[in-house]
Amino acid sequence: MTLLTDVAPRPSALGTVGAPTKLVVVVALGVLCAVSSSRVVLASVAAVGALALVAARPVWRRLGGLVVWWGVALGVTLALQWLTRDLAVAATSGLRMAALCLPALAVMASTGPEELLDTVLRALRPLRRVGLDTGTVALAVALTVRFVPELVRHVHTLRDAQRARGLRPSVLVTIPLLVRCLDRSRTLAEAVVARSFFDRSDDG
Amino acid sequence: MAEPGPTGFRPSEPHLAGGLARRSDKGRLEAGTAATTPPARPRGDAQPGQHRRVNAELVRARAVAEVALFAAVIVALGMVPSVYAFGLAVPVTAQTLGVMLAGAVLGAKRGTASVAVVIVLVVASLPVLSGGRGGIGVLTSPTGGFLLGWLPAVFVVGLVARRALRLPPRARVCGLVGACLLGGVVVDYALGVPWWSVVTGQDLALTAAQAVAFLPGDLLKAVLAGVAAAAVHTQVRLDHMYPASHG
Repeated sequence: MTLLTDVAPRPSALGTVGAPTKLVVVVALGVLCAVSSSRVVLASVAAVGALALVAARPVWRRLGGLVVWWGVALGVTLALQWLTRDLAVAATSGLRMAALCLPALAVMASTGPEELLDTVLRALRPLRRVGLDTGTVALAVALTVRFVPELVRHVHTLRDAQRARGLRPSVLVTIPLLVRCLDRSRTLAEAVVARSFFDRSDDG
Repeated sequence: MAEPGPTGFRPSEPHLAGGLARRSDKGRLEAGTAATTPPARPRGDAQPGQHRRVNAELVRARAVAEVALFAAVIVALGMVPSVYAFGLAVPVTAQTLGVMLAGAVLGAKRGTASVAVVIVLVVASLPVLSGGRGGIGVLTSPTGGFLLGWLPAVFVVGLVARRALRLPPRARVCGLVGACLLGGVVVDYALGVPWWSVVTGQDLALTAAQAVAFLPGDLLKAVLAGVAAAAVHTQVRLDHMYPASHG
């Protein structure tokens, strides 16, 4: 149960385009679809997105959960719009949702997590001026990825302990979880300092 | 830091005092610490510079570790199968609980940082949201606003929670629950519902009516988060949450 069991994207035409370009395009298209209600614009964005998704040769196992999620949202929205308004309004809604969904799915299908992470961290680099060090952000991200499986294991252990005492596993498992976590974070901080992560003063 | 902590530890012995050496009998303490650790840098008022630098690094490393661990808590709470709150039949995904807890336990800055780390992981297509979802396609989906709304939400929770911690114990629980309600429900919905309405093209009123279906669960989570945060604060002391310990 780790986060990084993701399969790599299959090589495709869209995979050769840089991740920053793709992210900027998706955000721009998203803003365009949010402000525009012209059905021609929405339909063309959706068509471009569909073509891009086909060109990206997606691994459906990776996108599965999200596609189902979008499907449910689309179904509910279409039904509600048709019932409360009329078919034309429902069609516009459906087109807008398709136009928002398909390009984003195409980017996800054609870009690996490492590439996207790199892009986000590089985009944060200008924030160094306000005191946000990219290295520290990267450390936080790496520690998070590392600790998720450990925490999931903690949750199971704590639940077993509750069951062993005849309690029904409940949300209250979070209290011992957090206390453990905070204890753990002190040890971790000492380990980070012991490895001289922040001590760059002697280098220069 | 010079005040005795919750354990009642009092720096009476110079060699135990370490970073706590800032008491009235200054001369004696300074002499004691200087004898054990030769200062590597020009000396400040009370401690050798070496100590202070390591302490500053430790504070920073703790902040990063706390941020990372709470980001991991938010992710982990989404990965474990839904939990049943107080015997209710409806399972509650605990992820927003994690967000409110991050604010109520870590405060505004660190809480916001841990939510930001989660959002970075979402953009990187890692399956960090409940149901193994992730990717930029979540942000453009109808519920994307609730996800981005976590950022201002956790900030507000943290701001209010830090003030709530100054209150006496009974009022403190109420204050923390209030912080979670204000941030986790009011602020989050204030961004999430309009976003939902824009993405689906529905009227704001119709969308708000749909959002009401999620309200009971979120109210319950806010209460749970507030109570749990109060319990955590009685067991672990986080120095940065108490204004007196700053500086």
